[in-house]
Amino acid sequence: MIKLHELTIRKVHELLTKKEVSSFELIKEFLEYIEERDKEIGAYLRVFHDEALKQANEIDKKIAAGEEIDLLAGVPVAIKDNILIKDTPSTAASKILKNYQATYDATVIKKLKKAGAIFLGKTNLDEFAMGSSTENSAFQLTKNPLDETRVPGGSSGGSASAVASHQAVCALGSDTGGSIRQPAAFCGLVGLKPTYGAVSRFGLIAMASSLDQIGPITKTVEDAALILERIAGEDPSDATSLPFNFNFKELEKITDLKKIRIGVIKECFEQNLEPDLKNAIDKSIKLLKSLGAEIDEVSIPHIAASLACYYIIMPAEVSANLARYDGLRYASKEISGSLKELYFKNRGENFGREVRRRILLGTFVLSSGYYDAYYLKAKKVQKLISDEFERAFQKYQLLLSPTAPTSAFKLGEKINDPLAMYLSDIFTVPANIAGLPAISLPVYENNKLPYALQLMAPPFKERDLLAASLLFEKISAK
Amino acid sequence: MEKKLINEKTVEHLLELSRLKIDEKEKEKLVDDLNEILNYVKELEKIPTENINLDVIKKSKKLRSDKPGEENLSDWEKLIEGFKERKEAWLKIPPVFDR
Repeated sequence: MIKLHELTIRKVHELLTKKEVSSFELIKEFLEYIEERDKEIGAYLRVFHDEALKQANEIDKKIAAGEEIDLLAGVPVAIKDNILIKDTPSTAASKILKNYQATYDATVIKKLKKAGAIFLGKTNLDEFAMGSSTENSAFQLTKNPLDETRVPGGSSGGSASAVASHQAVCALGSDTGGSIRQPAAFCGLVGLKPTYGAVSRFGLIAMASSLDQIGPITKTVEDAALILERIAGEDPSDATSLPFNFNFKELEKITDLKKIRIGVIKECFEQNLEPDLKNAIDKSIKLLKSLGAEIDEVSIPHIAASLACYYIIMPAEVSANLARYDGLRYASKEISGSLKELYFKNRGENFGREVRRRILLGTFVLSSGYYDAYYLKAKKVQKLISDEFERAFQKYQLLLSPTAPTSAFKLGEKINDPLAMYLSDIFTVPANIAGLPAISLPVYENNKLPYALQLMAPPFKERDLLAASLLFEKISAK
Repeated sequence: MEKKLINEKTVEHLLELSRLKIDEKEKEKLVDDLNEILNYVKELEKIPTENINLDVIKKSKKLRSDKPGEENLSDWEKLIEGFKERKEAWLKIPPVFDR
């Protein structure tokens, strides 16, 4: 009997290479478990039953032939349904893409396929990744496996709940304002948003192109690092990707945090945080100190304005990016009428409430007479905030804050109050606004639900970020 | 008291511009929601930004030459199968002007 809940990338690799289990058996076990468990959780929109078993057979053949296999080979992975896998549907949880079949692989998919990873299926999300609870999916509700009356977070809620309920070993998500880190936090997992440009966005259904980034949601820091190692790098198909290589081996050299200065972002603790969250963070700070890190307070004076910037820049890009869904392409359903009628019917009937709200907001802030007051102003404040981070990083290697202001909230609690929902991203959005890498790590206090700690690093310093996270994870498990 | 930065008429104009429609009964709540969000983001106007210059680009990326890539990235035949209606490889749309 394989214990699915104990599996990590390295453990799967050991099981397979020591021939304790075949890839086929392992994948079959996962598929059977998903069939049972996902009726409750609702993490997957689609499961690739036959294809996954076929891929597993290929891995078994390689093992039998004595070929050396990658660490990721045979590892069951869940993929957020806004990342394209050739010849399979990719809906972004929107009715407007209900019949769309991807005609190419996203670069991250191509890279994972090459490593031999096995895709179990595509996971639920807030429509076009717009939301913080996965309740904006046009197709189904996803529950938090740690407490099924609560949301899994969002927008990568399906990916997070698939991993947390052991229906996959690890997953890919996308993060525009916290959509990897916040669901990881709500589900007690590790979530990594790489530096903007570190991972190719080719084949990611665009939401806000200047902020979107693909990254892993995993049970351990090591797994997140191993996935990053495989998906990172410049891609000619994504002009915003930059030369970046991450080598896992570099992490092994780092055994303490003696040369690391960590700045605790003062402004993040000025609001009334839940006492348990505050305690959990204080305990984490002590642990980091015990690893040798030098820790003190730092100010990012305008960090609180990040969310306001975000809710101007993001909708502006959304309104432009989603203009392509015109009802004529992407296998829209048959609606007749004049061209204009067709646009109105398709877009009016197939975009959900939150998507429409953001398109309208974006159209407004870009419109003549308002552009300077909103969009241009937000771009300037974005620059101001980025500069403040840059200054802080002259003194500190890492910055620390909570990931989210609360633990997982109840299903339905915030769905009718958009601004309250937006505020659950208050601590995650700054990393997107400044293009920084950031990681969410679970921390616990009294409360049976996990909280989370966020660490941020300067652009392309994933090595420091992950090294510190790895050591923190080790010491907090003791 | 929150300022009403957007009214029903503006929302109707935005709906027209963005080719969207909503139920009449949704409109009131939508106007309220948008006003609440705009009042929140409007806080940015208090932050002085006279000295911020957006024209300075720190890192510029070397652009590739303007030649088609070697790799066939997408199966275009399959891509155009998603067209609502087509004539050969062309997307066929309803007439834009009345005859």
